[in-house]
Amino acid sequence: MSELVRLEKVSRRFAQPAGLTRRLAVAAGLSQPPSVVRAVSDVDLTIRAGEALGLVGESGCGKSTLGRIIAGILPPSEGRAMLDGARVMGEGRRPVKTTTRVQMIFQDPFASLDPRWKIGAAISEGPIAHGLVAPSEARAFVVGWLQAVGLPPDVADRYPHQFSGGQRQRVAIARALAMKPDVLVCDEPVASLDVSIQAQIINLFLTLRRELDLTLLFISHDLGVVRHVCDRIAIMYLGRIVEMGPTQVVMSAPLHPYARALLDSIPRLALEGDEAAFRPIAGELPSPLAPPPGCHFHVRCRRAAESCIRQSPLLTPRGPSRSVACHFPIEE
Amino acid sequence: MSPLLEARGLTTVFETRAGLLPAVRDVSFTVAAGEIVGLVGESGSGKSVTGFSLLGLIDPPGRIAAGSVRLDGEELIGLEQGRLRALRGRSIAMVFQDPSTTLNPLLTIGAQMRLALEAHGGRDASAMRARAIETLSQVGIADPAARLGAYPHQFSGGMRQRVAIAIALLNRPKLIVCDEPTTALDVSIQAQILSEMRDLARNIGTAMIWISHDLAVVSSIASRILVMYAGRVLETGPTRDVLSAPRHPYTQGLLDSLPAHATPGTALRQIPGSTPSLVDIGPGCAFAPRCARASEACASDPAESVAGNRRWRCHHPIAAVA
Amino acid sequence: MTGEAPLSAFWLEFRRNRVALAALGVVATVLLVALLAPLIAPQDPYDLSRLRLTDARRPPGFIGSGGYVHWLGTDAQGRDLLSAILYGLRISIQMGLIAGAIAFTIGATLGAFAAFRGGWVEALIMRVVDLQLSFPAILLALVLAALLGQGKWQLIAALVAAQYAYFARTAHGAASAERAKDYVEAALSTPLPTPRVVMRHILPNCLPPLIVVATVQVANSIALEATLSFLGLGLPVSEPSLGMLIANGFQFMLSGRYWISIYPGLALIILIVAINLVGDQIRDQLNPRLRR
Repeated sequence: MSELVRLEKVSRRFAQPAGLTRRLAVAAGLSQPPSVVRAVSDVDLTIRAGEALGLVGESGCGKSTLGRIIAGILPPSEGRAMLDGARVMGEGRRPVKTTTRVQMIFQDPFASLDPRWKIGAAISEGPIAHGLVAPSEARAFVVGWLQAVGLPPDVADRYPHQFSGGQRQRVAIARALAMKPDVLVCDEPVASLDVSIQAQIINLFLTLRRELDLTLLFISHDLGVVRHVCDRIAIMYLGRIVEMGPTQVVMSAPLHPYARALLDSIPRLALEGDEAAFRPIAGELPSPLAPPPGCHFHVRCRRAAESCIRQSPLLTPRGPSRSVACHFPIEE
Repeated sequence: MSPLLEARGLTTVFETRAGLLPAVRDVSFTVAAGEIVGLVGESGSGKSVTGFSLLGLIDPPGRIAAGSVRLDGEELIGLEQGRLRALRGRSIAMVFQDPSTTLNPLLTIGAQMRLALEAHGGRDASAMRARAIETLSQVGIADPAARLGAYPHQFSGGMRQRVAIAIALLNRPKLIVCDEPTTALDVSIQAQILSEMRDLARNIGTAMIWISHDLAVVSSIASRILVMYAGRVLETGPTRDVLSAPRHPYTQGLLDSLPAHATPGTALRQIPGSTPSLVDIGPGCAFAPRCARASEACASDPAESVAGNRRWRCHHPIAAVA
Repeated sequence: MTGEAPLSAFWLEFRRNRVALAALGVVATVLLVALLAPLIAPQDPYDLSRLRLTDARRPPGFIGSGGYVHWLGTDAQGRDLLSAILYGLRISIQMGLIAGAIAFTIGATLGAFAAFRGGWVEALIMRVVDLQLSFPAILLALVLAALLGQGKWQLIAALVAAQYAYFARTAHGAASAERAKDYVEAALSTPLPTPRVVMRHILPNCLPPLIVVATVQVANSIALEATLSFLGLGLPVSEPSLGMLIANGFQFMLSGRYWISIYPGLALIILIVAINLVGDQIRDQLNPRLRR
């Protein structure tokens, strides 16, 4: 398998938006500059063609930001995001996305479809603009994609507000896939759906991925879903990837103490009388505005030592397929 | 021994332009003192409305159309507002998904806790302060005395939810209705709150109704479970029994939908169709259109079947495991 | 899968408010009457050859030399007031709509551009707009009308300058909110060119609040134009709008010939109140916080 997506030393900072008066005050030395969050810092990552990579972590860990960088919605503050050897977004002060080969699916299907556009027009807008289909053939094209996501053809003439969350998510998937992407970035695509509908959408992803030979970046906080869909998993904590490897291996025997703690804290369906179906992580998630020095996890980590405060561990390979960013990883 | 809470035939409807919406239909269950009962269902199943109905928190265009709710022998339905307000907080309290709906952003935590205590007859300032500190530490807030002076925005999301729970605990209610209290929180915070609530129920004997869409969460905290669908309780019984050997096809379908028990990469056994609109609920079983076991018999409403401590409503239940 | 197209659903709900429906009827009637003024007015008030000074300042109901009833009386030149009001409405509405449309276009474009461009451009545009909003519109229009001199287009320029800021402010707020929504990110990440996303996705979704502002601002510019004309800074005498009719009759108010001022005034009030009632209902329906 060849590598398709490559992130090189990607960082993304967000500054609080400052008004004119605030900026004048800062320039005159009368006020502190607004605080800056490093949502993603120094991430190196590759995704191979045809692979499904799961990106997991708690809120504020930067997984959505990283997804948006790969999808070409946000430019990285530093580093490069590459798709098949070319930048996803152009360079300059106001970079714009230059490729159609990566598309994105959002968490909230109620927000990701323009309420004023009929479903059919929404699906065919991009393909027509990019010459993937002639306007005269748009109708058949739309119907084809609606069928592919399990919706009847008459849906094309309706508005998004006439549909349930699950149906809208199908439309959003059709809209993204109609651009014939190689890579699909899915940001919590089933999190806002009911349990019984989640399974339908997951099955749809599995089918489409196989049929269209898609490469998936699957962002989720639900490890059960990630385990089911993804070949490989990357776990993030406060802007950094702390562990990466094959999903099954990482989830059964994580190397990073945070990965272990995260897995333990998820309640499992308690069927066989085991009382402790989950174990909470000690302490609170630190503010991303002021992450602890060194390894960000050291304040909550039982294995932490002096060196964890002084030096932040780099993501280093462990064996052929795994890597971990920890001075004292859990031994196999 | 009579149960702490007993709901009988609870029915709550909403009058909308589209017609009469039966959000909760003929729901009956009991909660014993110190017990945690889980209420699971998807959106529109009526689980939250059931919780609100118990506290009389149904505002027009909604109303409780029928049924009875007895708390410690006292009938709550039809109770005058003043008496109901006196009971709320003191005997029965509620914790919501979003703590910012219950916390006043302009008052310190300490002031809000004092108000909650005064509302139920608290007089002695130092005793109230001591009680506030005690409940804050019960929900795992470090340095509670210092935190009394803080405002809600100075707490993180998980901490705010803890404060909301502490306020619910203040007047030592016998029952707390928890409506998705951990859904908006991160998994690590959810785990902390789940384990603290479990300990609270065990140590101070507070009963809880835990409303959630997450089967795993409910299974880890509740000893008994009610599975709701389209306003109706389809199945109820001890959590482990229900989840390991469900009798109702819907419960089985929910369990099958979870990726946790499937072989990775294989198709999940999904429930077809979508959750029904409550407006066009017919007389029969609401789940029948999505059910693989459905037959003509399902056009009529299934009566409740009872076996031991388990109950279900289905014409074609899954056979019990021997 | 129930529901109608958004527009017909909107109309169904609008219909439920009887007052707003009646107001809409009034607005439609006034528009129609103003449009058809040359066909339905008993007299052409600008045809000076038809005017007789013997008919001047006659009370309502007077039958003049033309042989027809002056239902609302006549003015100082012997002009039939009903005809003058119909023609005056025509001019007032015309001014209001033209000024409103230009202010809408300039303001909405400026506001949406600022929201999308961000940075110091946004800050500069919006501070200028804020500065202007802190100024009474009437004062600005007065100064401009005095500076630019009399004339239809000079007056429109003054009205636009006094009003575009409301559109800019509203468009900026709405566009900033829409811009942050997922569907805009989805469109940009397709990718589609930014101007296309602004024109075809963002602006249409900003329309609801802008339409509310537009209804109110058309009413305001009609009132503003009437005020300027009343003060003698408005249109030339050859195109008497309602404001000038009111001004012309004002000197006769105390001598008991009330009708020369009162009836044009009433016409103005009815029009402005009706437009505002329609605008209120639209606002209520479009404001999600007021929706049930």
